[in-house]
This record gives sequence, structure tokens and C-alpha cells, in this order.
Amino acid sequence: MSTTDNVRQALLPVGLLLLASVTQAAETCPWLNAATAGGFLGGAVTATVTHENANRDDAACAFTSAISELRITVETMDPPHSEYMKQAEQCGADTTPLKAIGNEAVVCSPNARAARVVGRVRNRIFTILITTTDSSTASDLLREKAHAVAEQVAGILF
Amino acid sequence: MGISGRTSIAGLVLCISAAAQVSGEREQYSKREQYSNDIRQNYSFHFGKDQISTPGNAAIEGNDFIPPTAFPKAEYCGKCHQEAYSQWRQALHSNSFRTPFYRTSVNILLRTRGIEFTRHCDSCHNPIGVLSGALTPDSKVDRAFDADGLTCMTCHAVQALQATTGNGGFVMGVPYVTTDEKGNPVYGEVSDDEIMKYPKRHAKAVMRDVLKKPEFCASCHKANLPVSLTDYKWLRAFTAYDEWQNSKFSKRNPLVFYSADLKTCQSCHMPHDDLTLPDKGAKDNKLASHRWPAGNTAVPFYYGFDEQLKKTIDFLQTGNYLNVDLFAIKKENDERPIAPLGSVPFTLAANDLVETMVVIQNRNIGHSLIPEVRDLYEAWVEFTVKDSSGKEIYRSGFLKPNGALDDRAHSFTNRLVNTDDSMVDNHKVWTIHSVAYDNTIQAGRSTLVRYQFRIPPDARGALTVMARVNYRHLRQSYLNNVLGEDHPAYPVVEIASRSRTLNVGANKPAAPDPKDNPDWMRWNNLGIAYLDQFQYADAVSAFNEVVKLRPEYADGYINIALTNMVWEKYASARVSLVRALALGPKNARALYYMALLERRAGHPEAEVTDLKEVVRQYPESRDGRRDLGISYYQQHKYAEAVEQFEALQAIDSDDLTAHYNLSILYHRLGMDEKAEQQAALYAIKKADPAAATNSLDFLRDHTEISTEMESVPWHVHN
Repeated sequence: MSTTDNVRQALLPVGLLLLASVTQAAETCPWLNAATAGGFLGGAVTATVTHENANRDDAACAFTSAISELRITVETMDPPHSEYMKQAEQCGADTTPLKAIGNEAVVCSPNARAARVVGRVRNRIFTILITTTDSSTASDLLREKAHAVAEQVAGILF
Repeated sequence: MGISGRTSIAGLVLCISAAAQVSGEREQYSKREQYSNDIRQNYSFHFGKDQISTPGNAAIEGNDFIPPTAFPKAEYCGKCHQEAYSQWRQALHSNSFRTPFYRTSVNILLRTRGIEFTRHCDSCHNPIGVLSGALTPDSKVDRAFDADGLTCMTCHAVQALQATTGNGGFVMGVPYVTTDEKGNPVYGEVSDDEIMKYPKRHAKAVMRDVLKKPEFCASCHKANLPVSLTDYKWLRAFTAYDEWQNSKFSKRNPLVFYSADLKTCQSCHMPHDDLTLPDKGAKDNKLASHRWPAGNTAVPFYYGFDEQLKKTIDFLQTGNYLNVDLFAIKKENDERPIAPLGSVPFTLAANDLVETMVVIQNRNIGHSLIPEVRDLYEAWVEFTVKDSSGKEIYRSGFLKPNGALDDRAHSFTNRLVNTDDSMVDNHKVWTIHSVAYDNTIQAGRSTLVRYQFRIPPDARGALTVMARVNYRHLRQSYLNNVLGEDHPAYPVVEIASRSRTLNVGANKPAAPDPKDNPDWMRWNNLGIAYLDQFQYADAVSAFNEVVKLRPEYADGYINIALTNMVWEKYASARVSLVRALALGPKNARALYYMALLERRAGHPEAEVTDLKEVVRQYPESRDGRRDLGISYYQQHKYAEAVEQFEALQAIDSDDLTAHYNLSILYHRLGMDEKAEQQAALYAIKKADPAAATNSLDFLRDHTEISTEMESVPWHVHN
């Protein structure tokens, strides 16, 4: 069973006609739509998009549900590999390389209720951070969720 | 078939379904209607009302959106079909959307033209995305399905096929995996127990005959660039299906150079392999491969799918697909080449300037080398000459330190050109205007590549000459576009090779290698290569060698006749065809060419008689149908002509001759509306004569192609 579906079976009661009910800011996240984020987080989400530097192609998206939050940041970097390495080294506990996510990526667990992915697609570095207040959610499951989100984000960055 | 035709088929399927008034269906219908209504509120019908997949062709019963959750998950199928699931997970079909090699290209289309235009590509790469209405600005559809690409129930829910237009030319049904006792669909993920209780119902629900037809593959392995995408003209993108249909393996084309037993797409790409995991669908412990082994090494390399990568390389190397023949050498100032190498004695001396003639035959591929997106893949000839100490004297077709291929290599690629006279890079196919050159080898044909080297003045003993066809998926510059320049080297696979020893001094005949073609076939392949390079005198000469070695071989005479016909030596052609027909009076290939000679000679009855026999033997011969239609048209037998051109369109819905002639014939028969449709199709599909100027400008700017003459078939690599 794939990473994505482990996550979905555990967290998402999928109805045949479910369209995620979302509340969105005017600007939508360029890397992931709210319905897909809601699918990962297991319910309706509120989405916000911010730009933290002058490059409008870079952005940070936050999706918040009742018990979880998904935060995605994308930055353009030069030189990309060394900048990626810096961030990957600071990822957190239990850092593990991820195969076939962008050019390169790692997943780690900053704490028991969070999972982070740091990855790179060409000269763009992205981070995925999923946090939850649900103590019943296993750390491995959070990492799998972060992995699955990372695949979506890397896909649109290519 | 156009959109309206597709809608009609989809509508018909819906009507049949609706006739079964069962509660499950009503519930399904109601849920789908609710979903569709939600999607329609925000869907961008950029290409017109109800055009949900345009510029692609994907169609679904009811011609309305379907929730992605209506497709049972691959994991659900995988519980009982572990072998199929494990193979599929590593195969191209499951990764059809998510792979970076695809996303890079489709993302450019998304960013530059809009997500609506990606429905063209995603009709095949992500049909659930198209049919669920997810491909629209500000989509509110959960894209979890992206990771599974073509999941089990995208293929196993296809109910019917449109005409072989490609671009997703299927009609999908609402997926179901079993039926009730009356044969009505039972939707959703039915329990394993229920399926195991009635396995025949399950088989009936998911194993339609259409899956086993080559036309099923054509629905996506044939593609065009419609006007709605290009804003220019309709252009052919690729068509592995038509290439197969024209090959010896289809048994549908009388005009092939060689014959073979029937093989379909599925025969080669879905071989029945022994199980390694339990699978309820297996018979005699074997299952049709759901790896679809083919040529893509990049995707398994990227994902680390080692088994898929190994199977892919094995497939490329064990299929006996190509024959590489070091056929002849020609010394400077000699009039005739020394040929065939291995069969005749000769001498060489130091300082000789030697031209080596390498014949590469597409022997057993059921389509072209390289098929489909030829602008992205890379197959080329590596040619080396080494002296007796192993020191290299000559090399062509090497990889440079940056991974790029030697600009002067003979490669089986093409160069597509846009209106800026630039090469279309990054697979931006919607910008294509012309083709500067195309070095493919079609199924069953051969090419001749010439290399010239000088034997060093101090050379002694044996020289080793080697020609090898390498394959890389993908072209280095495209890999750089996708991944940046700091990616690992992607696999280069040798598909076929041949080496020979040339002694400086006397050379005696040598025993052939087990993989070598017999001498008559070597000459025949040379003749085919010369024919395709417009070297008609040399082609006739080569084919004459064939009939000397095999006087009973009718195709040898037909090949001479064919060459003389394109050389406009019709009387000579007739002599050869008469000899071929003396060997086999019903030989369809000979009859076809004789019919063309009869037409030219003003013998319409003989012309029609011959062509009718061709069509009788080969009812799906597009050439037979086309020329019989022309014959009838010229004889003012319009109804009979229409019948032939309509049959031709059933074989190839894009045939220009059919469009042109039907536009006139329908008009003369008073069917003005149909006439206008055909005239319009002809106008958009007909090549733009002005587009060639873009190619000429491109070649002028690229001397590595034009001066080194890679774009000219008879050039010499020196």
C-alpha cells in the first residue's frame, strides 16, 4: 500500500461525493489546493497564503483544520544544493532521505506530533511541516503524510 | 470521429445503462448528478459547452463529471491481484502523471496557456483528473488520485472505443467490479467475499474484449495536436498504433518488406509471465504482464524501481529488435564496395581511406525506432575503429563530459521547429510548426549509415570495427531541463551491436555470427535503405543481388519494381512485377503495384480487378482501400468510391486522401453537410506548405546538422 493511501485510510473517511468544504483566502496556494490539503488533514481546512520575500513566486501556505496544520514554504535559492543541505541538516530528529521526491529530499520528526520534509526541485527549496494536536496519530503516519504532500508539491514545482 | 460522435457513443452507452432500473444505479446516478452539478458551477468550459476534455478526447458515459472516489483504489484490487498490483506500481502506467519527466512539460503548458489546455495531455496521463473536473482553475477536487496515474479501473472501466483518433479516444463507463444476478452493475468497492462467490460476474465486469484489442492501446498511443491546442493547424504528434498497423506484425498491410506471425501491442508489451506473487487472475500460474515492458528507463531509475529497470533493459536487449550489419567497406577510388563483409575476400593497406557502410535494420519492432515522443528520447549509433593495440583510431557517437551526445552522431531522433525557427525544447508541442528532419527507422525498414576513416600509416595487424545502437531515456538536455544539470547520469542501454576484424593485409571470408542475417537479407536491407535514401540505381543493384541469391523470392522482384516505379521507370517495373506474379499470381503486394501500373497505362478494369483482390485479402489495407477508392472515383462510380474511403477512415480517421475525396464525393451525391465536414477536416489536417521555411531557417542556423548533413540521408560521417 502506498504512503498516500495509508494516510488516507487512517485519517480520511472518504465519501463518494466528498468535496472538501473549505474556507479560502483570496489568493490560493500555488502548490496544493485546499481540497487535497483537507484530504490529508482529514477534514475542512482554512487556507492562508503569505509572501515572505520580494520574489512573488515564493510563498508560504498554511492549511488549518480542527486538529492539524499543514504548512508549505517554497523559496528560490542559489546555489540550490548547498542551501538545501543546510536546511536538510537542520530538519530534526530521525532524518531520513526520501527517494523520488524532487531532486532530493529528507523527512524528519521535529517532535512526536510533527513531521517535516525538506526538499529541492532544481533551484527551489520547499518545506512541508505537518503538526497535530491529536495524540493518537502515530509519528510514522505523520511522516507518511508529509511524504505524500511533498510529492504533490514537488510535482507542481517541476 | 469528432466530439459529437463521441458524445453519441457515450450517450448510447448511457441509454443502455439507464434501461436497467435498479436502485443501485439510481443511487449512483443521483450522487453523480449532485457531484457534476457542483463541479459545473465553477468548471471552465473554455472550449465550449459540455466539452469536458477538449483539447483531449477522453469520454465517459453520460458525458458528465464523475467523482474520483467512484474509481476503486488500486490497493483494493491488489488484495487479490498481488502480482498485477506490484508490477503496475512500478510500471509507466501507474506513474503516468506524477513523474517529473511528465510534470515538467505539462506544467509549462499549465503556466503558459492555462490548466484547461492540459486536458489534452491528461486525457491519457491523468484521465481521472479530466473526467472528475479537477483540471480547472481554482479546483476544489482532492487530487489524491494523482499518485496512481492510470489506476486499475481507468483501463478496466473502458466500455468502448472511439474511432482510432487517440488523445484518450476511449469511452469510460462508471466503474464497477461486479454485477448482480441480472447483470446490472454493482458500484463501489464490493467485498472480497462477494467477488469470490461470483467470480464470473467479476470477470464480466472488468475484462471486456476491448482490452485485448490493439485499438485499445491506440486510444492513447496515438496522438495529434488539435487546432484547439495549437491555434494553428492539426498536426500529427505520434502514432505507434498506425506504425504497428502498417508493420508486418499486424497482418493487415500487404506492402511490407517481410512477413511475420500476428503480434499485437499486447503480445510484446503484456507477455504472460510466471507468477511471483499470488494473483487470482492468473491462469496456469501465468499472468499478462502489468509492467508493460518497453523503453522507458528514466522513470524506474528515478523512483528506484530496480526490478522494473532490469526488466526494461532485458526487454530492450533480448527482443532481437534491431540488426546491426557492418555490411561493406569501400576504399577510396574503388568504384564498387567490398560486400557483403564476411562473405568476400579483400585486402587493406596502411593509409587507405575506408568508408564503412553500416546497415541498421528495424527487424522486430512493431513500430518505429524511436516511437512516440522522438524529440525526447535518444537512440544513436556509436561507431569505433581500434588498432591492434586497442588504441582508438576513430570514434563517432560518444557522450561528452557534460553527458550530451556528440553533435555529429547519427541519431534516430528528429528536430521539431517553432515559428522562431528554434528547436522545440522541453516538449512544448503546442508550438510546433515544422519538422527539420526525422531520422527514425520505420518497422521493417533499414537505414544506411556511412563512416569514413583513414588507416594509420604505421598500422599493422588487425583493426576492430564496431557499430552499436545505444538508447537513452531521455535526451540529456531534457534531463537537464527537468532536473537541472546536477542530476546523476541516466542509463544508456546497448540495444544491438556488431563488430568485425579488418586485417591490414589479406582478409578471407569468415563464418557468420549466429545473429547475422543471411546474405540475401543483408542485400535486401541495403536495398531498402538505398530506396529510402533516394539512391534508386544502387537500390536496384542491391535488390538484383537478392534475386541472384534467391530467384524464387517474389519480394525481391517486387522490390526492384517498387524502386523503378518511384524512379519513374514504369516499363522496367512491369517486367519485375510480371516475374513476381509468375511466382505467385495472387501475391497481394505485387498486385497492388501492378494496379498502379495498370492505372498509368489506362487499363481501369485490370486496375480495379487487382485492387479488389488486394482488399479481399487485406480488408484493412489502407493503401488498398485508398487506391481502390481513387479507381472508382476516376470511373465515376461514386457510391463504390465512398464505400472505400469510408472503410479507409474506419482504419485511419485522419487519412487526408479520404477527407479530400469524401468532401467531393459527398457533395456530388447531395450530402452537402457531410461534404463540408470532410472539407473542413482536410483543410485543418493538410500540411502548411509555408511551415518548411521555419525548418530551413533552423538548419541554416545549425551547421552541426546541415553542414555535417545529419539531415541529409546519404551523408558520410568523417
